[in-house]
Amino acid sequence: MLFNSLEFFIFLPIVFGLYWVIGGKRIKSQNVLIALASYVFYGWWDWRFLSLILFSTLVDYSIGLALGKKEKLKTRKILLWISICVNLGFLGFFKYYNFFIDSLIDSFTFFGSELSINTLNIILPVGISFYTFQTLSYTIDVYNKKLEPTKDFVGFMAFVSFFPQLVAGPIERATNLLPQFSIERKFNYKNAVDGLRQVLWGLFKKIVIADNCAKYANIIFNNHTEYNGSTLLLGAFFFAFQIYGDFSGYSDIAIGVSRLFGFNLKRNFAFPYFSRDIAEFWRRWHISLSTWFRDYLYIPLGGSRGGLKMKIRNTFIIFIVSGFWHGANWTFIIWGALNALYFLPLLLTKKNRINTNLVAEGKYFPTLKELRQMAFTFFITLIAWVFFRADSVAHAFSYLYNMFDTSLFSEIEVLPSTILTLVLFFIATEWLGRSGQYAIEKIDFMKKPIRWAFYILLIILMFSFTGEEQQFIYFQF
Amino acid sequence: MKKFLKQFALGLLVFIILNTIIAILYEYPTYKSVKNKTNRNYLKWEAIHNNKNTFDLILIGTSRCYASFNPIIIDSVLNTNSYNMATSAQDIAETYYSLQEIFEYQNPKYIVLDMFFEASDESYDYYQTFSNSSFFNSKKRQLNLIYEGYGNSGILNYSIPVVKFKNYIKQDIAGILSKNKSLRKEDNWIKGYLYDTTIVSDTQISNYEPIANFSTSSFNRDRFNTYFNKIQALVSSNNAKLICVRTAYPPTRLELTDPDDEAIFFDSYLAEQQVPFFDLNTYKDDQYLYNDKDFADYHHLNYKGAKKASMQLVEALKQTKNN
Repeated sequence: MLFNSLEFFIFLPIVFGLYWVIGGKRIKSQNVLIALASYVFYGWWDWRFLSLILFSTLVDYSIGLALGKKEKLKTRKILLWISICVNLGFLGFFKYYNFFIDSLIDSFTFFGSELSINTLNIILPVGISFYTFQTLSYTIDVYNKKLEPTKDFVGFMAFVSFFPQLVAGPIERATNLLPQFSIERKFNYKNAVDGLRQVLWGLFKKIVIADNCAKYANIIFNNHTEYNGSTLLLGAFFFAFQIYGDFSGYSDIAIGVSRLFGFNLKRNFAFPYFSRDIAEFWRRWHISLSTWFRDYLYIPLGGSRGGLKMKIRNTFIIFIVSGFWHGANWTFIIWGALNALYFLPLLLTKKNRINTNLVAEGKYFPTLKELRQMAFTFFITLIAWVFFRADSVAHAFSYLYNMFDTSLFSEIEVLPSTILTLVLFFIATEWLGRSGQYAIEKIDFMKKPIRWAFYILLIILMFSFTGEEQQFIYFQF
Repeated sequence: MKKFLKQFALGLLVFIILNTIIAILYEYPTYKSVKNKTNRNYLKWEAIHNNKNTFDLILIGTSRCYASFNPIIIDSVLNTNSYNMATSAQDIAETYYSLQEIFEYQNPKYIVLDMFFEASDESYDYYQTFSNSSFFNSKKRQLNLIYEGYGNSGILNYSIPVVKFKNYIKQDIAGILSKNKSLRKEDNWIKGYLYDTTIVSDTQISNYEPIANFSTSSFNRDRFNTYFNKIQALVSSNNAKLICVRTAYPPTRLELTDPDDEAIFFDSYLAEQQVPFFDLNTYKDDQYLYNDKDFADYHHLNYKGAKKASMQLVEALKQTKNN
């Protein structure tokens, strides 16, 4: 079920109504409703994969309980590894089996041999990369004694399958979200209104910005040999806003919908395209994933402690694994490695934490230096996005090769002025609202008629500029 | 919670008022033109409903069809009584239901269907479709078109004006941002055919792009196949002959197009279906050679081009009759 679908617009009010009719004091009943609604939401896509999420829930719930009882380190380690193997095993099979088989066949072919192994016709369960990481965070935190194991199976089931963030994040930590299923949820007017506002902004980002940029990004990427360098640069620009609008839009909707039910999810995007360096970008982009890798992979590997070789090794591991998490294609691995190359100089020169405040804080305009820094950071992420979007490594290199020839300075061949105007409007709104959790959070300062006129403008733009419906990009991860 | 629900209700009310305003703004001109009996679709359906069993040749399809075929020219050679029932942005589902409505009032011997990728793609001009179908006498058929033709999306687009008119709102917004305001010359309609005196400019010709192919269009083969089969069965059950044509494109656009997926696809598909198909871009091109100035824009013929197309169609119909 997509957020921007008729089914969801019918589903949400029904669940919302039932939820608050049940009332905040009946915690268990509310959790049952959330779990049921989440299974309906997930099953709407493909009911066969409900068994997978249920199995994952059962395994990690049982392991959590067992970890709570066992004190012997060896036993605890075995239990943890069972959880890791089950979760990553499912992920590995559904997402990476065909990739490994194809890569193995290609490497044999490269050396002149033939290998005959059949790939399988595997459907990737939507959201598997997200909920497996979410449940893993539970078992790891219980193992590390950061969290007491829960005995409330329904609460845990609701935590794993929580529909607003089930299929495309944010990847919630058990330490943040799970306790919220054990406490009374009181309806808060301000929270609910703010949540609705965030949903509106998220829908605008997805429907107007992401889907319309996708149309032109697809045309240019799919026919890149027919266009000049400047057009290819524009294509990469459109993709950058497609993926940002799509993914951050989904996160905004997920966070906003959660607030309607009295839950607070962690922020997932903090205006990453206003970053002054790549380290800041990675503190602002897909925050839930990058912090997950930091806490559960980077730090256990030694982090940035240790010698130069270890720092370099750990940085590459994190970024390449992050790339690989996104998809079973060498393009994602190269995207990750490229980001590692961008990041390393900052890490090694200890300049990775110099831009931790808000850019141009308290001012309307950035300084020239800040503008230069933002433009440069945006440009290098744009290059990396080419690998992310391309169908293959060869496609990416061909795209970049064609982009960086002399035609980079010639007239753009595809110039949808209306969409570009909308993107500029979007950038301006995000810039003005960059001190909030999301761009229009602080719109309260406006008088009610103006505020409502702005909401109406967003709604008209959403209906008028509904692009060809595009699947949320991160559904494929 | 009460305050939240009140605010939500207020929001819904504002949304309803907004939609009412949009409906009035965009429906009023149609309402006025129907009242003044100047609305083209209204006049077309009036002709079909009020002249029972009169027309023996019906032309149907998109605006490319109503700009291409002049019934007066066709009738003067073939001694028929034809009518051009093509409408703007006519989708293939709309064609099917329109033919159902037509067959209730007419008994044509020939149905000429214009073949065009965009008539079976994923983008629909709901306003045009529902406006056209609003003149069906059968309300049941109108509802079938909405639901069976377009599903939930159809219901949404039919019921909510801001969705129904989104293409027009978008155009108007783009128009505000654009410096160029083009003025079309006054239209002249003859038995459903648009006699257009506009001649494309050299600037427009220089901006021509290739004809849509599989990678640049969202042509939906399954949808096309489903509705084409229904159309074929419907025409056959009414003892009429179905003839398919692909109307002309400016030669400059044809030169830019490689491969011409539209021509290749319809040619092989219709050969398989054993339906006569004439691509007017190549049919008897030694006699009927188009040039860019035969067009009013990037894909609609003007009166000069329509004269050629109408005569080409006459030849095609004669050939079909002889076969």
